[in-house]
Amino acid sequence: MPRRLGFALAIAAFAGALALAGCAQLVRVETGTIVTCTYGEITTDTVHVVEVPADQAANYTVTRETTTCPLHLKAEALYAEAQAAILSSDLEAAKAKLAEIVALDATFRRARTQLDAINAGKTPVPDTGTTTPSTGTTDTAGDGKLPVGPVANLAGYVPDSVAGYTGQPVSADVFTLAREYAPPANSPADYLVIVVEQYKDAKAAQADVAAAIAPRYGFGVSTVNVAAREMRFGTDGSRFATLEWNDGGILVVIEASSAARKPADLKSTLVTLAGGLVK
Amino acid sequence: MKRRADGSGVMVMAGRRSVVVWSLVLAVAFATFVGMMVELAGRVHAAPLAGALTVGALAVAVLVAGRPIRVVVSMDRRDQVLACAAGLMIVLGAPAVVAGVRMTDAPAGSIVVFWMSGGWAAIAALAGAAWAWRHSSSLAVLALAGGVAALAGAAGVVANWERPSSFSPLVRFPSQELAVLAAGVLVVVGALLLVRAARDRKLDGALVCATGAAALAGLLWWAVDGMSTGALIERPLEFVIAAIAWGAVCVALPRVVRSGGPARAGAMLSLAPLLLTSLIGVEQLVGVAGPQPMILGGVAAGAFVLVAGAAALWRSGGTSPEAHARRPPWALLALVPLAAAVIGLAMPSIIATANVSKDAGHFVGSWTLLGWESVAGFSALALAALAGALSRAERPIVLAALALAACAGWALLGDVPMHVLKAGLAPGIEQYYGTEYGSIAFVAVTNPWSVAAVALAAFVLVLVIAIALGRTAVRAAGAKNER
Repeated sequence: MPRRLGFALAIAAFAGALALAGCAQLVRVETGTIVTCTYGEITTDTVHVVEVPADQAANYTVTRETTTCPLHLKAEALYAEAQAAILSSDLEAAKAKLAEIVALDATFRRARTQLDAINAGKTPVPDTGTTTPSTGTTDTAGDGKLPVGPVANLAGYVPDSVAGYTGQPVSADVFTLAREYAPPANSPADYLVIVVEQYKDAKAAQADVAAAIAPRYGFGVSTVNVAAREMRFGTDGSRFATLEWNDGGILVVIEASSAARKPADLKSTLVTLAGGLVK
Repeated sequence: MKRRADGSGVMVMAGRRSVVVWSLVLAVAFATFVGMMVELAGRVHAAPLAGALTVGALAVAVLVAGRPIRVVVSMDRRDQVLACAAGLMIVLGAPAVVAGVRMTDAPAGSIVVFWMSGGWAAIAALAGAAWAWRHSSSLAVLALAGGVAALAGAAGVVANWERPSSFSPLVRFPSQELAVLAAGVLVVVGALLLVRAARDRKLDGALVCATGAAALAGLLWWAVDGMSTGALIERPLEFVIAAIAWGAVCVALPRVVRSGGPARAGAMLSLAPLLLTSLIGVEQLVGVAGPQPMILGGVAAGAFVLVAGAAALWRSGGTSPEAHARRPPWALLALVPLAAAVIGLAMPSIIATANVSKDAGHFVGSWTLLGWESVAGFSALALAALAGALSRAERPIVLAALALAACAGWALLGDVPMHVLKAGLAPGIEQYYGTEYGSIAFVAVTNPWSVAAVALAAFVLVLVIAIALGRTAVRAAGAKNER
């Protein structure tokens, strides 16, 4: 009798476990909109997580929109007026406009450079490029053009060449730039890619490192300091190594494949490359 | 083995060698057959494939029998009919079902391998448990535990063949996959019927009857289907290999079942994923297949569980010593890990996160996989069951050591899901996994119940080994004193 009771209890426990398991069909999905200014800043972020049945999960997405925010609309107008003033040699007016722009956004186009030139008693070269900001996503290839739009400020992380590695065409997404590099002869890496992604803030970038990069590259993890930046090195234990750092919400990841299948040996190579990017 | 005056010792030894040889033939031939079925089924029609396989089986059976007509004539009519029925089930029925339900690449190859090896081995384990129950409940329990371990181990091996894996049993094509599993019932029942049809005589006559009937039916089906030979001409080598392998399986399987019961046959069937995995070694040497796609740590951990399960299945086909095994006083302790493992099946084990770019926006979803949805949770159950079964077994040292090794590697299965695809989630999202448009990642979360189950199972196994070693030492000392 006790044996039968035990057997029945075991079956009941097993069935209960499976019944409980059957209830777990919910999916946590992110939903909302991220609005980004054409100059890079995220102006609106309504993304939040909801828990829905699996068969409805596909209906929930994060949409991304790009627009020019009021601040940059004002900066654009001032910039156009400043360029007109420079062309007409009215440097005082240009200086006032440029100072106003720099107060709004110190990195706005060439405003800072032009203001410094005027302050130094020089006449700046007017910016004759279009003053209309680009809109939307751009897939600019690496044929001499630089990416425009929100990712334009990330282009410095994917130069045409770095430490002997030659850049291939750039792939651009709304918030991401990626560029593969052809390795030089005798390089310990047979494949190299640099990926730069703009996050809402440093915390979001760090969260993605913890969720997406750290689990995959959890072997031989160490921290290095390059040009006052703390960088994380890790490998997948078999072939790939990464070095990544968080520049205040800009996540830069250098990933390389070890030709000798010894990814830990790529550490010095990646550190050298990172030094070339952050100098 | 000492030679007895009547020479029976030599005969017993020869019989054992024969069993081992046929078992090895079964394991290698079945792995080859599974590999070829994954390659061919879905790409060619079921009728020509099944027809060719039955002809191959007949050819092998006739070659092994030597004098086919004589051995068939020596059987009585009733046994001939029984053998023919068994042949229709095992020789034609099983491959016809597998070939018939696989369309192009669905279900995925890893799933087909899982059901054909682990699934069929589990069915053989059930039959073996029923077979063993008559003379030893401990052997029956060992067969069941071995079956669960073989199933979990097979999942552990095939789920680590690639990342993200295509391994998602019973999510997209449940009816087809259950049909593949049901084909295993045909195989086991067919083998048992064949053994019964042969009675005390050699199996050759029954096998010739079985393969003959199956070949006749297979060719008839092929003819009704249009007798298309295009696929045969396009892939002659694959067809020949598959047919010979299936013939060897049909000839070896009843022999193994007769000598050690269905569980021993299940042990050999379960090894298919492991043997197929070993092909990667050949590929690495030849260098034709590109980078090796397997997660070696996960494959190795799954292989340990699989080997422990196969060994338990093999042992459960043994006879007398276990018949006298009694439950030790501490046997209830061995049930604690099993209880913990069962609870662990319902606890969170893995977090899955999918990230897919769609036209309408970006899909970012995550969900929790419970213990039963993770290879680790399922393996914990298998290892706990093995520990419980071995606590009652005689001569448990080797099996316990294998299970202990599996416990040691268990952590490597922590982030391996039992299914990558999620039931209900739109295929429009899942089709992008592993492409530049989407990814899915699995991160293990600590399931304390499963961890406790494996730790306690390891403790029980150590105890089992220590007690067995102690008994061996006492017996050796006793024998020395007697001398």
